[in-house]
Amino acid sequence: MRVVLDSIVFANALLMQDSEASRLIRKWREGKINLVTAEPQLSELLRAMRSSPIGERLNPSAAEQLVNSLRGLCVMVKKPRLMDVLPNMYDNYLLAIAHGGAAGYLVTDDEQDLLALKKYEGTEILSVNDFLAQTGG
Amino acid sequence: MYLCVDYMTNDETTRWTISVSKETDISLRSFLAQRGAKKGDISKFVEESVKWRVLDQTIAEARGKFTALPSEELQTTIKATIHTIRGSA
Repeated sequence: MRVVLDSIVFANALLMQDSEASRLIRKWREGKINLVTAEPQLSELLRAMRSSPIGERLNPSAAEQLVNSLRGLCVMVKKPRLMDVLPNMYDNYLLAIAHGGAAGYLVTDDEQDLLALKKYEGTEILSVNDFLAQTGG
Repeated sequence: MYLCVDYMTNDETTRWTISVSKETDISLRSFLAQRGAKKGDISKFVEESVKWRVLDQTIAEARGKFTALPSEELQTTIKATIHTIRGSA
């Protein structure tokens, strides 16, 4: 089961010990899901982890190590095809990763656009809680 | 016991020669044999195991830096940081 995480959900999952989002990392670790991403999303995560105030706690080499580890284990989509489905370019980018990586799910907290879309082609768009409920926690 | 992790198939790989206990060697070989292991499967298994171990430890260390922050505050911080990055992109 291939899954794309919105960058906010991804960062929550990586940095928050007992969050609902951290259960996504556990599912990935247990081989129940495959996370799908692309280089620009990893760059965005790295920038977020290096920026204040997150970067004040996490040293730059730790942030880089974390992102490099993701690169080695996620399904990487090369050159996602740009789309014009939603008004926000970042939302479209996530849809492009999902499309390019044949992801069955896109997990996001964006209620305004992505969650309202519910489904795009073969990708179901769900909140963290709904995804966990639908896929057995 | 030397376990030669041999996967020099192209320029992107490196040969490792590592030592493991006899017990580990037998355990790994029987584990892979039960799954119809082919040549190179020890290398793949070791590489994948190393990647996951590095990720586990890196995540644990990163999370350790934020345990003093209330989860709602951290969640808000992450969201604000990513929105700021997107705004400046």
